[in-house]
This record gives sequence, C-alpha cells and structure tokens, in this order.
Amino acid sequence: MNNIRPFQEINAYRLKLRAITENDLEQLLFWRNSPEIRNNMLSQNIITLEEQKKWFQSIMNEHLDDFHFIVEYKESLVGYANYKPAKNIIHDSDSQGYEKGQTGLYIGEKKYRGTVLAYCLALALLDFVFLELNEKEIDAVVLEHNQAAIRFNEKLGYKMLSNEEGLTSMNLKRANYFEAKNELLKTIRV
Amino acid sequence: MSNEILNNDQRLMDVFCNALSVSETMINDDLEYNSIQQWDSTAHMALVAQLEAEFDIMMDIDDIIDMSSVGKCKEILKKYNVEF
Repeated sequence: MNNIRPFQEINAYRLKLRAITENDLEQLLFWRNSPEIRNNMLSQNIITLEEQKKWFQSIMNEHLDDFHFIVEYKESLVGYANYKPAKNIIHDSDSQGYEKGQTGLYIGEKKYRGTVLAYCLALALLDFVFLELNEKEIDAVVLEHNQAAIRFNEKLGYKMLSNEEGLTSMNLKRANYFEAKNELLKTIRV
Repeated sequence: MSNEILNNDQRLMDVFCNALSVSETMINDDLEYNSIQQWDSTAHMALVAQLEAEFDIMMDIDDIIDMSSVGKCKEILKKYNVEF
C-alpha cells in the first residue's frame, strides 16, 4: 500500500483519534493489562513496558501501513483503535498476515466502558476505513466467548463467517456497514 | 407524588427491563453500566433508542454517554422535562 500516513488524525463523532506516540505507551499498557481488556484479547499474557516499547518500535519501523490510534474524548484519553490493511500471506514476512484488512478497538477508560462511546469510536474508525482508505470489505476475529463484541460487530453490519477453535470470524462489507451506520445514526446524532 | 411521576418511574423501569433483558428486581438507582453483563454498549444503544421513543425526546450525544447509572439516567431525563 502506498504511503497513507497523512491521514493520521480523525475528528469525528465527538472523538479525536490520533497516531500513538511514545508518551501514550504507559496508558496503553495499563489498559491492555487490565483484566477487562486482556481477557478479551487473542493474546492474553500480561506484557511489560519493555515489550510495549518493542511493539511501538516495530509499528514505527516495520509495519508502516498499519494505523494505531489513541482516542480522546473531551480532551481525555479513553481508548485505542487500530486498522491493519490486508497483508499478503505468502510473501509477507509477518506470519500473521491476512487477506483482508482488520480493525481493533477498545474503550479503556472504565467510566466509559459499556456505553455508546464504543459505537462512536467504531463509526469514526470504519468511516476512515471505507471512506478515506476506500476498502471494500474487512474481517474481524473475536473470541467466541466474547458475546458482547460479537453483538457489537453485528450491529455494525458484520456477518458471521465461522466459529472454530474458540474463535469467531466475521466479515464486514462496505454496503452492509453503511446500512448499519444509517440505523446507528438515528441514536448517535452528532 | 403525582400519578404522572409514578407512571414515569414505571415506564423507566419497563424500558430498562426490556433493553437490558433483566428483571425489575435488578433495577435500582445505583445500578451502573458495565456492573452487570447485560449492560454493554449494544444494550446501552438499545436503552437510549427505547428511552427516546418512550418519552418522545431526542437526547444530546454527550448526555447519552454520561448516562452511567439508573439514577444518572433520571437526572438526565429531567433535563428533557421528564419528571420523577
């Protein structure tokens, strides 16, 4: 993919999504290691600040097509989102390559977990993916036990693909997203 | 206490029970979002849609996000002239 880094800040649905910096790492680590977030991640081990810094260096130096955002609401940090465009499984040195782009997000700030703010974040991120990056479809993989995430994705227009070995694979097509978005905007009026 | 206020309490109770799929015994002013499994982002979305339909109001998004408990919900609804 060509250099698309200029789209590094998104202001939408009352949220600001900006590229993460080294200064955000401790906050991200705190959220990432909290049981509420960690128990729903594909990789559930507790990570150290050193590991977090290594991860940051890898996204800055190696995975240049990926987007990693820290999320602000009313000038406070509230969560994290990413978008990883499709990578060629055969030729990519990253063994976790995938055929379609994938999003990830969470609201880390306890005060706002379980609120529609998660939908605001999803809409901001998916608008970016479908309108700015012009993707046609994307995938999501969530833990099968994470029914809240599955219901959340379905509300955004994702369709279930498969359930295998504790993982649920889902797919979101552009048209399905915009149909779902129209429904959501009846409640989220910004 | 007027009948209208009593009625609004019951209407609010019914909306919460329906949106969160829980029994009336679980609903009290101290019930906070994310304190029970049923109150997640999707349930919160359903709750807001049903509150707006039931009380014929349109809430500001910041009020919606701020609706952190049943008690807080009542406070916010008062801004939209729903009395409790």
